[in-house]
Amino acid sequence: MKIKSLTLLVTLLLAFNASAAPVKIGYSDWPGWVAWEIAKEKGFFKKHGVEVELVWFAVYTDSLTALNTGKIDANCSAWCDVIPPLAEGVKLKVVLVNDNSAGNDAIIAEPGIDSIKGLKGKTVATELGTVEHFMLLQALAKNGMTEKDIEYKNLTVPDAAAAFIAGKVDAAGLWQPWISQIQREGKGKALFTSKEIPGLIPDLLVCQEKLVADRPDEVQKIVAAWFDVIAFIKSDEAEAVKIMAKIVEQKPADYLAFMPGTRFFNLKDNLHAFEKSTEPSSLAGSGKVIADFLKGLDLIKTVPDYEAALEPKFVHALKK
Amino acid sequence: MPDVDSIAAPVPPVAGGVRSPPSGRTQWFGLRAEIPPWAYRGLFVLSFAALLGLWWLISVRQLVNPIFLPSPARVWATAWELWNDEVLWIDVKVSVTRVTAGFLLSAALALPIGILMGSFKICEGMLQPLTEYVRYIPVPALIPLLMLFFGIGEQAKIMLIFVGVFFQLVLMVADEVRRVPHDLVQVSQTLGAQRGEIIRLVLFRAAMPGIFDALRLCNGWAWTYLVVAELIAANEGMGYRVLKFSRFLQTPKIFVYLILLGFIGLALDFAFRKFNQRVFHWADATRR
Repeated sequence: MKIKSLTLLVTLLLAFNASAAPVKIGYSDWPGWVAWEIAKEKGFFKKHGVEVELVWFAVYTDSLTALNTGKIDANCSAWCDVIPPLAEGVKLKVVLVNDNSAGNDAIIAEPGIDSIKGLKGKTVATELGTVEHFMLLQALAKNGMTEKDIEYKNLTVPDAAAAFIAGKVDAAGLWQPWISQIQREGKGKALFTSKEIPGLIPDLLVCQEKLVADRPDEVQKIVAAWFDVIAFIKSDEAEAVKIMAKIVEQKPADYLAFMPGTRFFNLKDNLHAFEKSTEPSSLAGSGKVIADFLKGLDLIKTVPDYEAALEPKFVHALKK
Repeated sequence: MPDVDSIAAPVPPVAGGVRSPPSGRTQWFGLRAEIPPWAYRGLFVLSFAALLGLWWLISVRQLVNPIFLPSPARVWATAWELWNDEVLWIDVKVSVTRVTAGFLLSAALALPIGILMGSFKICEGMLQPLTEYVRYIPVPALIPLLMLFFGIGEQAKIMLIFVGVFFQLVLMVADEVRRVPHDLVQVSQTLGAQRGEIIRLVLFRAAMPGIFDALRLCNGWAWTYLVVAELIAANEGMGYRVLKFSRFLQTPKIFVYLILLGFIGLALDFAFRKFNQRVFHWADATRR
């Protein structure tokens, strides 16, 4: 009757969004993720016989929402953005590590502040609960300090960059392209970069658990295509950068500056990352550090079973 | 924007009037006809009950993943939890202060400027096109500029609400002043009133009920800018908290805050209407 037809209508609407094939992967502005564009341009998906639709998100956090609400099948997310939905019961699986940030995230301070210790009592802006905030707390901890020693200001990363350039804050946790821009203009100096916390900022391909369960063959082919991307970047970096720079509307020469700050993960790196280990260079090890960080800030209520979200079988299958 | 044409001239009273039909029977679908207060209140309660019922139905049938649409019971339990938590009340206090400050500042400037724009063509020519232009600029895009001028403290947040509200309000005030029948101005001139007196005692007074209605609408807008304002280096406040909860998928808490925001809005609206009815009871009833 009326209720039934309403139910039917809503169900139909929901089902319409979740129709099969191609696999929809969300991605956003980060070198390790933009690299998927190479797989599309160079036909690596086609080579492995899988249909993929790359869905571009101008705002990274929107891609997280799309994944959590099931509007896309998979997404390019950072490890620290996967743990909160896991804690709320969203069923996700990590199948691949694209890269580790190795310098593309940094705490920049105005000239005159030379060390993290020098930030004592200074205003530092970055976005709450993001990779940058996480890195800031790690940097403080390494110097025997906590957030209480600084004056923390919550601003989105682009706004934090603007506030820093305008001289309204003494330091900011930022990512590219602001890091290179600020340093080029001599407006600030990097006190701490992601290079100093290897393994703690892994960038991942995260799938709906349903996709991994129902369409494992396609996931396998997508993972295989990634290693073709890695091989291509290694053999022809200039061409790779050209493809990547195009989608983010930057000049290839400018984009080249972000490459050294990105440690692309090949098969060997992936096998290591999926090992069950307490080392922060493994996902299990960094997962603990990240979950404790989020719990400590009261951003998650319970620490989820993040190890259960790791699905190593796809990279294992490619082991020769 | 308010409907410009609706109150161009006072409507001559119709014999018998549309409002109280001669038969004394309620005209349920009579154009603009009154319905009994009990029916009005009943419909008001019913509409909320229907929304609650739809919500309950969707969540009980699990049509939407409970992570994104928590059940009313879960939200109620969360509300109870937050109610006893100091944080909620700090957020409410901080946000009410920010919105009120931004709104009062807008009103304090928009009233005199709007009255001048409505009274003198020269002011209209100077300010109206400029205001129309500025009000289309998306407020969030102005955050970097606001930070540059006002820093990252309270001032910047209040100024953002000010920018969001002022340009709309000033145009509405000017419109209300223009809508005052010209007959009143001519009569005053005939009676020998000075220009300043006409503005103060005729134009402003006659436009006051309408201006007050504009203030009521703009107060609502001020609240919608809260989330944007609290993007600027906020560490507390209702808008900030909603953003933070949504980033970490704490949907039941988001619902509690949104429901509370709705009730704050409803209460303010009610207060404005009551004040309007009491103070401007002489004004045309259709205005309310």
